[in-house]
Amino acid sequence: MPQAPHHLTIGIAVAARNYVARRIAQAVLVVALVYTIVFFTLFVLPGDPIENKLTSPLNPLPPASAEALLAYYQLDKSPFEQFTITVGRLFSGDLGYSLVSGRPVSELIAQGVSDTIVLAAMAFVFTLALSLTIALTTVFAPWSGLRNAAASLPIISISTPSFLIGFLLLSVFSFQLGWVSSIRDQGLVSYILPAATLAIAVNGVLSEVLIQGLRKARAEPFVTVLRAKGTSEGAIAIRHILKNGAIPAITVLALVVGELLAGAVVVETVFSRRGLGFVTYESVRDQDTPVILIVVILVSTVYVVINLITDLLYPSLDPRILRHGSKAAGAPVPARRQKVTA
Amino acid sequence: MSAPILTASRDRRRSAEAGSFRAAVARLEPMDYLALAVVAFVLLALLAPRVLSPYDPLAGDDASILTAPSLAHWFGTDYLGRDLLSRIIHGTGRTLLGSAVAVVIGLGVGTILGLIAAYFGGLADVIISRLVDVLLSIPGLLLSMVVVVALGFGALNAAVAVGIASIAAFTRIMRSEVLTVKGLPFVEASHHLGGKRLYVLARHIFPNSYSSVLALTGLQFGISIIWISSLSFLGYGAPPPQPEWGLLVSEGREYVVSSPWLVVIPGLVIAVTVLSISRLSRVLKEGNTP
Amino acid sequence: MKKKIWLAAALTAVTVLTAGCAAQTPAASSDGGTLTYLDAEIATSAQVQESGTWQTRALQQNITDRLLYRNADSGELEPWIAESWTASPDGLTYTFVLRDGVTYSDGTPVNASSVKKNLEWQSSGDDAKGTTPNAQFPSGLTAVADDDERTVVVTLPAPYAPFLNVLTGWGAGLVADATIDASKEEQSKFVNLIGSGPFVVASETYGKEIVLSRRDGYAWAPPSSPNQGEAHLAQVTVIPVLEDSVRLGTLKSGEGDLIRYVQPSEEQALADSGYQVVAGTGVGLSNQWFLRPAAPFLGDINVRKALQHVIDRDAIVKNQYTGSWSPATSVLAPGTFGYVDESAKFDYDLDEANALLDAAGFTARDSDGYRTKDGERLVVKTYIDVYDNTAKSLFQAIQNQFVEAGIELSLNELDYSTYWATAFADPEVAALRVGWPHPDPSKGLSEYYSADGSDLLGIAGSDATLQSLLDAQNAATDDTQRTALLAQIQDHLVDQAYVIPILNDSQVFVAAERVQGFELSDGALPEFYNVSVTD
Repeated sequence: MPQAPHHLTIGIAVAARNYVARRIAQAVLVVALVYTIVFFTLFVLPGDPIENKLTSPLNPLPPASAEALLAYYQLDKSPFEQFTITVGRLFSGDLGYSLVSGRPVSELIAQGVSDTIVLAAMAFVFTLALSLTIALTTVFAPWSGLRNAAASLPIISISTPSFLIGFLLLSVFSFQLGWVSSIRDQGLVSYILPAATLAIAVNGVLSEVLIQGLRKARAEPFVTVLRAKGTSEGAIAIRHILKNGAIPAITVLALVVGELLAGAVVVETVFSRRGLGFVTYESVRDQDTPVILIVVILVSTVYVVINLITDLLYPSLDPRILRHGSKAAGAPVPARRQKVTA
Repeated sequence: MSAPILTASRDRRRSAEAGSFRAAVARLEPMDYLALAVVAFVLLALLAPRVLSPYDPLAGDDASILTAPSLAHWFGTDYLGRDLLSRIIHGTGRTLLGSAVAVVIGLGVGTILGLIAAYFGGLADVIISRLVDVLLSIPGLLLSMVVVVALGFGALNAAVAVGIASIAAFTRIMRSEVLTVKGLPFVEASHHLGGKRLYVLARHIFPNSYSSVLALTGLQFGISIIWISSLSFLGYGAPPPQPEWGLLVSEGREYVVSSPWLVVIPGLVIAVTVLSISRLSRVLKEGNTP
Repeated sequence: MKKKIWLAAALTAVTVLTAGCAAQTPAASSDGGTLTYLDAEIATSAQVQESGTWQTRALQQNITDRLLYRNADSGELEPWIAESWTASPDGLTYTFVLRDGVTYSDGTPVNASSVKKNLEWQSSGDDAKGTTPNAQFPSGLTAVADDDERTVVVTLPAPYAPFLNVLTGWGAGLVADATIDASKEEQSKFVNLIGSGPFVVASETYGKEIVLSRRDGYAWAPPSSPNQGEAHLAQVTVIPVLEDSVRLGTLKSGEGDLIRYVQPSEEQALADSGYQVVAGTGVGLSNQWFLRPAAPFLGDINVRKALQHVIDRDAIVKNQYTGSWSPATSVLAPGTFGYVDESAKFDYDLDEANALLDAAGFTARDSDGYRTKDGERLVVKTYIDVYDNTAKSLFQAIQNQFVEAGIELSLNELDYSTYWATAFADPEVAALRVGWPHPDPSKGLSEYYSADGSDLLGIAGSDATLQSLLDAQNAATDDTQRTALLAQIQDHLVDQAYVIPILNDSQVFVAAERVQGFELSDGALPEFYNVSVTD
């Protein structure tokens, strides 16, 4: 941490700017390291996976394309040279080619990514709604039975495999009740069941952090002060406790999005959808390493970017930090993420 | 010279432990006893599957193919007339041992990395922390898929993959625990009093940080069950005819019209088992937190 | 006050979760209605010479017409786009007289020039575009179109017995010049597959949906077809749904009209609740296991013969399959040209099997009850077939039956993409499943068992009898002579116990009650032409 100058606002601004720059550099470094590690894990293993794949008689690629790809991946070069070649291509917008279909990886990703973005976005909204409902019920519900029931939901969420949730939702709402089509594109409606499945499977961590946050905020002295001032319970709950208690939850948002994207692999399979999750499922099944590499980089970039944004925003959102004045403002300490384990 | 301090610290820890254990028992709710019963049953199925299971898990009975749950077959039968209950019981070993392998890898490697990072600090800490950042930036299930592609499909490889994917969580918690414990007065005291570094490490840091690591181990064990069964469900894990839990769900999907229990029952078994383990590990955690 | 807040929060969440759950009903259908067909796989490439997957053929079958038609019931060749045809006695020259007035869906005529272009393209591929020849076609084919555009004379460099049968197959669909002239990449898209068939590709979303619409003015169905005009259905929506549970559930919910692939156990449950199960065995080779003499223990013909007798096909069909399936009775499926019933030679006979194994020296037993010889357990290694959705239970059932004779069937599993390369290259492998529908059996037999083909048995050259029979059948042009040769080949493969015939495979479709007139072609491909859907 830079030593915060106590007297100069300009100094504070410089420190903050340096801090932001360093955080961005760190994020870029993480993505670069992910790429490097995954590349060497997938491409340069003993047994030459790419060569085996391309020379296999079963490979549906026509021989001419397989030969062209063998030449493209330059497997005779040393691993490090292969790495630099691939990185160079990455910067020129060439993401490589599928070893199974011969199609450009960019094309495969582009085909599925919009579907999965909509799915993840809807699932994210559902997750927020569900977690807020569970947390508010756990903390504020009038009957202890209901509070306890709500309190046990996050751990159930963490413990239930998404394929079971998906199967049950699909059976009830598509097959039995016929409310949502299982095959036809009905616009946003088609995303409801898979998004709900993801939300039910993923909300656990967020719900727990919210519950903890709300409980902590409720125990703060200012609540007693407000109550003494005669502020209504409702206003205290919404305007003060929720506002303060929800802030720590921001630190797990990147994790939630990451889990949603990874969960899409299972959920899109269960619902027979053709998004990025299905592309991932297929490429893992077929050991189509160039596709897997790009999927992993994409998902981890999303995680790192969201994490960066939330880390940078966090200090400015925390009213306690603002309240404590210059000391905290000068040194925007990034909130360490909560210990989350899922 | 050092004896009184060390004794004092040990006593304090012991009393805290005893107190928290009593407190934990006192806090046990009916649901926790149920969770205990589930875990006990699962352990029994793991240790002595032959005692519990009514039928041979691999032998089909042509006379009872795809029969619904009944008194003879509590969980029904599958497409070869095999008893689903027996298959789930016999699958316990493979499923739980897979998770155990995963947790041992995560815990072993993660603990060592966390210790090194926190205790030695400096460059070691920078490198390990960066590695943890990298591992955490790939969602666990996706990371385990990458590893399973590299290793090849199979039950053991899926377990190893999940283990590798959980290293970061253990490293991080161990690092922060060690940092906390390192700063505690009695540890610093024993340092000043001439305790050897490694001795101090073994003597104080391990015992004092084990509770939260243990709780994470419990939770991670449950999560490993889900990840491994997800990998099996997708077809990257154990091959048939082994009755791995996720594989049972996957195989049951083809019979959903006539026999939905083939999907629902193994799915629920996974959920209930993981739920019980998670619940108990949470009790453990709460019991150990002062 | 408190109450209101959490209630409001809960309500918000519920509203968000259920918003827009209202179902949309598909558009109302006119006359023959519309059909929603859920296939189990994705049709990947429409490129004619290279498209070998079943789901691709199913589409080509309905989009294109062929020169000749093979009646699925009688097995006879009938005229279609060719009104009549003649073959020269030496098997080198074929003359086709074309039907008048047939057009492709882009308006261009199906005339002699077009047929000549199609046949030569199929035979030699297109080097410039990188398209390979169609493996079913004889190479070196040349054709001459006469001036009135009604007659095509085809000349082959060598006799090729399967030729006429090949012309009836899905791979021989006639396409417009626009398709042949398109780049290879364009050819792989279904929207660019321009045929003269009863349906036209209206739209295609790769991997998600292919919509076929009725071809206006279609009036050239095979003469034996009950329908001679346009198709009844206005539209067929083909959606690949890989998840078995989703396919079945969608049929049950009423959203889907027709699906492919169900587990045999589900057939009965569906039939009981009023669904129609339509199944067909395609002509060609039966579902069979080849036995490799070079594999451990299988060098001894007695062991191979014992394996033939260990399998109780009737029990398997009865317990795990339905009336749509039947035990294989030869290397060829019944109804295939040249088929001979060989079933008496490999009937289920455990005593015979045990006697053969004793004679082979496998008299001792190990602690698990398996037979051994010189301390080695009798193990037969195979891989579970990845192309058949019933294979898992079938292989496991056979494994159980092998145990009865003290033989261990070692089952191994590979994924779809590595199966072919790994399983067939494994020197330890003793048996693998082969046998698929073919318009003509000769091609399939040569492909599997000839030294010029894949030589699956690995005995190229050492069994001269087999090789000469396979060579002779391809050159034979006289039907009587071909029948005799095919019978000898079937005898030889079964007598030498090179092959264990298992089942006559079925393509199983399940249709809702409202679907009428759904039938399968002789190759067990779906035909939508005569189908109508009434609500």
